[in-house]
Amino acid sequence: MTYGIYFDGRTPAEALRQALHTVYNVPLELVYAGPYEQLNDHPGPDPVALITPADGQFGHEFSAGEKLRELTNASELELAQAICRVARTRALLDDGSPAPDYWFLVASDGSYGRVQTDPDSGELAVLYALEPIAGEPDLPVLPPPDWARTW
Amino acid sequence: MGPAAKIPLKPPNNRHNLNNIRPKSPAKEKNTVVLPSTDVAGDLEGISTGRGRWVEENSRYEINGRTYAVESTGTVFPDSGPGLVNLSRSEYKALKQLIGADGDIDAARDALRRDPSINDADWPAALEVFKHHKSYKGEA
Repeated sequence: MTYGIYFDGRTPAEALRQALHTVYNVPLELVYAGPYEQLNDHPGPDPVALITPADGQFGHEFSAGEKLRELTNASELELAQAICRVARTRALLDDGSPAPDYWFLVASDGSYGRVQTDPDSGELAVLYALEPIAGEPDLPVLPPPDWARTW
Repeated sequence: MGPAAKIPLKPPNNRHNLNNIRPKSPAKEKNTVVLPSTDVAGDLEGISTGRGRWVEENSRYEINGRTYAVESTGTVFPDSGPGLVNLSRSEYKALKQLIGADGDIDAARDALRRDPSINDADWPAALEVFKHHKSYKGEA
């Protein structure tokens, strides 16, 4: 399995790195935070997780594979919830549906729900929630019509 | 039938088209790529004029062997069928790197060498799709 989580860019990448260490005891030297282009020049062992810049408000792309799974035994959602709680941040991750602009938004309290992102944008920009999210009370909620429930 | 009878449908974003994918396009676990010469616009025209079959059970349109669904914004997205390729997140990442490297396959492979989310099994599907990209120059 792989992980692909987009964290709020207002939170420093270092805080995400530290949160991963705090929650799952992942050694800091195994988490690379920086530009993707400099990854190959990064000294030390090959990382098990990357935090690289992404466009837009959710400006940290967190990616990892099976080695992180072995270290954490956490699903993508569980890991996003844990890091959001500790780092007091928000994240977007795959909601499991085929719709390219439906994502799960995880709030800083770990609550989550499905949101609609802007289909006309090249970056991740939340338009509204498709279901209530306890930790995002100010986010408008527009329940989708039945024909738009593709999950 | 389906949402086309209720609202004006919007075409899929260009980022689904192989030649419009950007290296920083966000990726989900399943990513549908539209190969060049696939007539998505024709399919949309057909759906809008009632020639698509709406399958209520899975909220999909079927037309010309392809399936499409509609998001809450009214934006259509391609799902499966001829000319549509579904790539995993890792395969899609490899494809984006091939595009970003402007067809230099060795450079793309080297750039992802230390990426823990990529392994050798991700490259064949990415390369197969990349062969349809405008910057494909052949394999060394």
